Amino acid sequence: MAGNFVGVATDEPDINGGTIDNAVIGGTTAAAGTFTTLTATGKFGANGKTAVSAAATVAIISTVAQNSGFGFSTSAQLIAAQAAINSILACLKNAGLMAE
Amino acid sequence: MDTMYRNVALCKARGLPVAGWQSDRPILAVVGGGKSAAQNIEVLKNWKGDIWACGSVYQWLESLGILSTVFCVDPQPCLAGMVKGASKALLASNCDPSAFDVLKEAGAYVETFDLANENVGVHHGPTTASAAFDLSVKMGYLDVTFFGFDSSYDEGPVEEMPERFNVSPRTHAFKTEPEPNMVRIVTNGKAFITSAEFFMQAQWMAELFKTLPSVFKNRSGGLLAAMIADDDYDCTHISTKLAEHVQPIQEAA
Repeated sequence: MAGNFVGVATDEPDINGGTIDNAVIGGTTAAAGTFTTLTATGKFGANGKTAVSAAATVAIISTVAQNSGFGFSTSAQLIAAQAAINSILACLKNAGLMAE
Repeated sequence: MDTMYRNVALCKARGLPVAGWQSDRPILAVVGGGKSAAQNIEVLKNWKGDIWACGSVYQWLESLGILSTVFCVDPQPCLAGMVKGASKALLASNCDPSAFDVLKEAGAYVETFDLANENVGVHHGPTTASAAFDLSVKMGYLDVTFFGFDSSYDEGPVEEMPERFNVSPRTHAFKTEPEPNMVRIVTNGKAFITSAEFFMQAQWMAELFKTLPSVFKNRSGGLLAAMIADDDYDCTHISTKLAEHVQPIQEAA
């Protein structure tokens, strides 16, 4: 059966194909999900922690890096990079090399 | 962390000069060991400014007749071997005391700096190179060019470069070191093999280059150049050794 449905509520839909566009999944009540390929273009969160990077894969590297003893996650380092940028900008302003 | 605090305390006790602002600094080249550094040897031989060599790069540049200041933030004792022969050094106060001992014995001129603790000190990322940005400007260098920070070991077309973790890529322009924690990154239409640490270095450095292009210039290739050109990147593979650290996500009860 194919067709367009507007404002139809059903407790047990069985969708076996097609594409879901521009829709929130699990917006009120989250449930299990299984994916073959997961691509994220916004923030990616797991277990209450949110990685700043757009790429979900970065969250994996972040976890790996912390667990393998590098002591630095990608999300933490992006915050630190911003601190470095702020420090450099402040230095340039103090030296009169950049307008306030 | 105890080692870091111990190193800092021992460094302070030496009473060495602290790197600081000077208004008439020349241009600065910061040199890493990536393969593209070898393509810039003539540029560096004719460089009309100061040169900082990161860690083991110092001795490579010296062997090519290029004078530089050895620059490092690493606390590992192996740094002592890397600074041998240097007449000028710029070391973080948390570097291993043995490196300071070697430099003292050689009569080298050594300046130190503190890495950021809270908001005081030099801000840095996962590698020595990442500290060069904040430190150089704090010292008054306003035209800083980075060479040899490719942040990757191998690269190629995405379709022609599947997993290549079973081969040992050349890691430096002048040597090869074992690197078990490998990742494959796809960005800017190419695939790159690198370490997790260098991936994070590239992420950090790309952010700085894009934000402050009037001060910092990149003449490195590899993953770093690609990540400056393209904000979108994906890690598609990780090495078996690195995968040992990955934990599966637990489903909610």
